[in-house]
Amino acid sequence: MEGQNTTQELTVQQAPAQTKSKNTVWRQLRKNKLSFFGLLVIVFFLLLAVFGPWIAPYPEDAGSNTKIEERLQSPSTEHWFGTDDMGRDIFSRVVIGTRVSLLVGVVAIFITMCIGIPLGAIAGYYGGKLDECVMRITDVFLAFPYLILAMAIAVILKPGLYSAMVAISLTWWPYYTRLVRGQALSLRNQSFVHAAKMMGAKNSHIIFRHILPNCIGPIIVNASLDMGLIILATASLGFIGVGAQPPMAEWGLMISTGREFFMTAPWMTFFPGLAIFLTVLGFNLLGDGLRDILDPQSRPR
Amino acid sequence: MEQLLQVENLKTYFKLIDGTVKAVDGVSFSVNHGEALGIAGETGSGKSVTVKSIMRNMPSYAEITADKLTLEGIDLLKLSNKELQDIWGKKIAMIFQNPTSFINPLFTIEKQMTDVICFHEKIKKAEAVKIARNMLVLVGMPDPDAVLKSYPFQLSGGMIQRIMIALSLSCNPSLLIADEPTTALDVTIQAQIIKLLGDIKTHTSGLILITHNLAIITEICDKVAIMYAGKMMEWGGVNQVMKEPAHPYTQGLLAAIPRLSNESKKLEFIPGNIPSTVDPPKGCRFSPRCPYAKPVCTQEEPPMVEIAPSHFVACHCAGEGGCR
Amino acid sequence: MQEKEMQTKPVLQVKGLKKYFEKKSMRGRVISSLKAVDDISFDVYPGESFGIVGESGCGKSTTAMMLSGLYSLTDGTITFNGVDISDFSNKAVKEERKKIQMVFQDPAASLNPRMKVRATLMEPFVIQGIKVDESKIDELLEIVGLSAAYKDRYPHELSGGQKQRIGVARALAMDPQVIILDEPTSALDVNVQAQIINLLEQIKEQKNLSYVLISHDLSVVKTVCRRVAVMYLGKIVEQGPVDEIFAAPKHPYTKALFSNIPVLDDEKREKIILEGDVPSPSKIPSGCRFHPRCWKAQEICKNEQPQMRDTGNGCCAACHFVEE
Repeated sequence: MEGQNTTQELTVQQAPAQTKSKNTVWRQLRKNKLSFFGLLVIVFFLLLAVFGPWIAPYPEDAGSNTKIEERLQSPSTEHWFGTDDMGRDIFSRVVIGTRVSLLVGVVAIFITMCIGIPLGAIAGYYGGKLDECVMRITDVFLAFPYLILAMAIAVILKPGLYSAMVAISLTWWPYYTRLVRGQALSLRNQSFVHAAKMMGAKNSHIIFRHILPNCIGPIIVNASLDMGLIILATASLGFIGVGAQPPMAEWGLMISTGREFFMTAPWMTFFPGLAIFLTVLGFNLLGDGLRDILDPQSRPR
Repeated sequence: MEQLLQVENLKTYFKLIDGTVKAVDGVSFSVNHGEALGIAGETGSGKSVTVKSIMRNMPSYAEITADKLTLEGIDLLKLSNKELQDIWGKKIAMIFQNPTSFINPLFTIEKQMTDVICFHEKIKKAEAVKIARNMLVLVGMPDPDAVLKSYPFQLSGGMIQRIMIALSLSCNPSLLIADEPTTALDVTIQAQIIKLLGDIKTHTSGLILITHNLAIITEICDKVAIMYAGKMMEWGGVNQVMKEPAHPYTQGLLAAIPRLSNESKKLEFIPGNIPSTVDPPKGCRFSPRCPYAKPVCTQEEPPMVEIAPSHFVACHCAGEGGCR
Repeated sequence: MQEKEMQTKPVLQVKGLKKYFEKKSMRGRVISSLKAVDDISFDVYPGESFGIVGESGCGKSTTAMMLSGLYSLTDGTITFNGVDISDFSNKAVKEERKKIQMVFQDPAASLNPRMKVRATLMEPFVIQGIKVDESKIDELLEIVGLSAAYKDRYPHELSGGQKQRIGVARALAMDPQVIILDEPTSALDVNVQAQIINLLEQIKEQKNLSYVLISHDLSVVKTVCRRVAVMYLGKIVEQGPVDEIFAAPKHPYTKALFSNIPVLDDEKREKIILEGDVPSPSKIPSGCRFHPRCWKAQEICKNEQPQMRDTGNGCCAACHFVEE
């Protein structure tokens, strides 16, 4: 056979018809019942957040409205979740409070990412002394329990919803820096980054075209898991009194004021608590599902 | 010769949401006592799934069926999971491509070897140590006592592969399966392991070697089976198949291997890609890429025919003097 | 023909190349030093394929990284077209270096999984600020034997061989003079390997390129290259035209290495099985680095490092007993 030397000419490989990718994120999410349930819960709360003032039967109760004659009523057809010590309708306040909690979550995550992701990408990609510096700073932040640090910052900033938001962001960014740095560290040694370097690509080009797009999956997963935690943290700050200030309809604050009446009017703490529980659960279930889909390496086999 | 392992019409299907993957689709072969069989094929040809199915070491969603699957007369398909545990290690032993991931980094070699030997042979630890040491001598370990006392991270990949071979031989298995045992190793270390496998052939009743490197098969094996897309294409004595390959796929595969004696800078190759095993081509699975394909090839599946004593080929042209 | 080529100037000249990986203490003292590449020299001529072979840890990949500018040099010079490109913090050098491109070992890692083939092939032009239209991409794809429809695919929709073709196309987009091929086929099946090797050969002739092929597979080097350097523990032990060295290797390590390749050819060389493993580059033996594994080793080998000696026919080897 060697003698014949029948060398085949190089033929152009024709592309077979492109099969529609069947495993889109959406389809996989649909298959995962728990995560899909989580998504439904989140969508439900999002709708509440957007249309809250129209859904709530007594929208005026969101503020410092007082109806002493109706105070501490147990749940009834008129007040589904009962009323609080000022006679305000708890159902309306829980519904309107959704907007506050979700807004805080989104804004805090956004600020967190704005600080954490660039720092992580730069630290991981450049490495060396710069990396050391950034990592030691994150270590300092991570050395404190995040709630205590957030409390301290919120107190310094003058208690209020906005300072709670800033405080949470300032304590949360190191997690994102670590996440992105780890990704960048492994990505910068991938062949496609080497190839870009050999073409003379600038570092900024490599970070924006090659490093960051490949970090998106884990970031989305973390963000969806953190949404729940941040809502919980906001509620905690509100509960201690360094977050949202009365008379704002904020879940943590509502639980805090309901504490005094826990034995006589448990609905005052129960329903805001249930709302927190459901949103946090929803984001966690969705985040778990997204992790399985977007970040398959971390899935336990 | 007495037959050690008999496989007839073995099928392994994976039922997935998007369709059934027919990873192995009707494979038949046998291994006689004292024989070494090499299974060769490209990535995705189903060679690894075949041996894992024989061991019944498969995830639960895999469906394994066969007309016959016996080892020394034991029907492997009828065994319970408990009975399988006794078979593994004692009757069938396996060594793998990446030995380091099959060894626990936290324990010494002695602990890991004696644990296995004690479990299967139901003997005292002191005796097991003796066996382990003998086995290490058998696989040519220069300083067996030091090796027994060391932890896996202190040893190189080649040495750990030797230990895995020693361990798999320690319970005198009837059949040793080696899945790409040298792929992860360097050339000089690969040569050591190949030589070792050739030497220990006499210590087991049978050996199955899976590799994509046909040259390694010619060095150790007596028989060779060529797989393609879940089907057996050709099966026979190594010399027969290598010298007079009857199936066009085998011919193409052999021509694609760069040879030291080759003067030309060009290599021959089979055009196209391996078909999917979810929706394989009709008729002969190689027909879309076969230079000699006839109309019948795309319609009917070719049967295995014996073109020479114990040289089987699944090709429509095989009976008519072969495709040349 | 051979002489005539030799008279032309080398396109790539490597002299006394060294790479030490040093771990320094806080005060800047060297704690440990790993001599990955230790004083190697070779020339690559226009239109030539130069092979570097060796086992893992011999420094061949480090050499590739230095040639491609991804690692800085500890010592030595790399001259490209007569220009010294060793110091690549220099802007002019950076420009010059773009004419050296690389094809990587792992086709899966060499493409950004989030970029379609179009974006991957467009990137070289974007980086250089050159405006090109789709037809340029089609042209590149055609050169590497893929139809234009592959533009809209993501890497995970391609087979290993197709990914490697895209990798070649990307390197070609920079219009290089030298392409460094770092184990371009070691992750591929034989048949796909043959396709890629033929493709590389064809492109080389079309574009008058030079290749530096890094490989552990001697038969691939034999098929592709005209000259070869054999590396062991950071040093070149033998260098010369491929045919000469394969026909009559002079250095004991080369002899052993060549005899260890599993081959299909009828005439089998007698195997020289080496004892032990390749030592770690952090613990390099004294004298000749190969002496602990060498069967010819004498007292002098332990104490004195052998120099490169001419062994005729354009070959040279570094061994004290090369004349024998």
